[in-house]
Amino acid sequence: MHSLVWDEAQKIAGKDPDFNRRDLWDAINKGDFPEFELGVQMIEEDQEFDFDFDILDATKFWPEEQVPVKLIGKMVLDRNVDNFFAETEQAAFHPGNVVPGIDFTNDPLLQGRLFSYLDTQLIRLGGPNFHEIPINRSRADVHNNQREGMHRMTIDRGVTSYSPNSLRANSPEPAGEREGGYVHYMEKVDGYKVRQRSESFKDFYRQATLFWNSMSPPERQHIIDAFHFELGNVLGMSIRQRLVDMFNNVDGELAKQIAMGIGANPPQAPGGTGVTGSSPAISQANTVKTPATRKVAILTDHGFNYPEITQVMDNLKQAGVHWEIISKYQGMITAVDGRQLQVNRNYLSYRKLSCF
Amino acid sequence: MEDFHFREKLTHFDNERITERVVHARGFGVHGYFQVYEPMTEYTKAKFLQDPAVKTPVFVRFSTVVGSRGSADTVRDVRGFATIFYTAEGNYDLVANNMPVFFIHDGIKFPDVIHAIKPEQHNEIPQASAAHDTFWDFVVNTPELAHMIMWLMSDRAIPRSFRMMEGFGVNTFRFVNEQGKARFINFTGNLI
Repeated sequence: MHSLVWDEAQKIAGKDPDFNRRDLWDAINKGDFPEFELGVQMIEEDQEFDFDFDILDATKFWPEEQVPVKLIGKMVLDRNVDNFFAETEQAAFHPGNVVPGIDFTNDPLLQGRLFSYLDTQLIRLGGPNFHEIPINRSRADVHNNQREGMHRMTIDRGVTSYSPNSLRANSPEPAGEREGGYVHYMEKVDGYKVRQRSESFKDFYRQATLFWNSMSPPERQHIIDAFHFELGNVLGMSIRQRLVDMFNNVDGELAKQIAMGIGANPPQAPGGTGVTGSSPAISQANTVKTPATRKVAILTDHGFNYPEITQVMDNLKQAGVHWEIISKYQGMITAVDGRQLQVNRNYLSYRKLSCF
Repeated sequence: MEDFHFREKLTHFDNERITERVVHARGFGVHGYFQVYEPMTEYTKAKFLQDPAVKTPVFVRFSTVVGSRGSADTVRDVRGFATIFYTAEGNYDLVANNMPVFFIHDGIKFPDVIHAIKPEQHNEIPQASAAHDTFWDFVVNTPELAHMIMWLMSDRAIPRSFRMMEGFGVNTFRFVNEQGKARFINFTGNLI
């Protein structure tokens, strides 16, 4: 996993605001296809309450050390879009788009998402037929009685648009379970129905401490620096002080360090939650370390050593690193032995901070 | 007004814009495919997770959350990592982020946290940044954000490349197999 440091991130935001999208676009165009593995963590239904956090609380994660990740497949990203608006901008994601075999839970944030994603597309994409836009269209046949509305693309044939009907032998009709239609998981529920979150959701700080415990020293320093930047931009001194006290609940030393940078008083109360464990898997210090996906600038000019530079290029390529030749002027540059190389960018057209 | 070439061209141009997404307005999408390693029959009946020979087309959109459509990529923010799987049984959307936890755990607070983190309503400042009073005012009054703030202050909030960040499904879902047996699940997107 690769991150920027904050000073780089801010400078790049000015020099090349398209830094991340350009990186992806260029890599795919060069045939260097990004790959990810899909993993899944599974908990048996009867083990729902076996953990020291609520597994339906979206402010918690399932530490890999407690619930191992099973890698189940691979995704390869191998094609850029033809048109940004038609595809990327009109894509309408919705967590409620599921297939048989994947179902929901009582996670109350998920329940909110199941409403909101669909609702927000209605105005953004101009009505209830956005699922017919090519990027959103199902590749599987759709059989239902949804009709008309703004921008309807399908020409629905036949006389009926309701079910049950006898005029067309009850066609069209949504697929039932036997035909592979979606049937919701039958979940047993008992208890009172109230607008209230479970007591177990009030555990606000213990996993925050776990996160802090899991960070390497450089990661901790970056977190403290980030707090200094963010809270240093908060004008209300009382808010700053209360934040120091709030994060004292996570870790006393963290709160002390935050306070020092922003002119607040160190916390008075003893800090921390008493959580001493850590989750090594969430530290970036312990994740994949590879030069692949990086981009390197080769600074050179006339009179360079051809075999030396081409050797560097080959080595970089083998390591999965892209390079660009930067020189004072664009055009060709000539080596001592007379061979030539094409310059990709001159000093000014080159986004100085685009190479990392 | 009888010059219909003019009128149609201008009318279309005048109406080219649609509203940007209320969150995740800035994003970048690419196509690809997904293949399962081995049949997942024991855990789920989802067809696209059965046959290692089947390539399921996918569309993936990476995004920031807070900034508007024209904002910068390298801001401190959560990154969206949303995938449509165009399966033989219809679309499956895995709408994920690059962090496994979220700001809040109750959907009704979502408009509040987004209003607080977006530019302040009186002057539309600052763009694509949490570093301002309204966000931290909300944080200090909503302790459930404490954990997410730790992730947001970490280096994960400033990825160097979409190609080198992890994905997490955030919410808890279920796998259900052919026998109707269910398990709680969380999805992860892992670097190779």
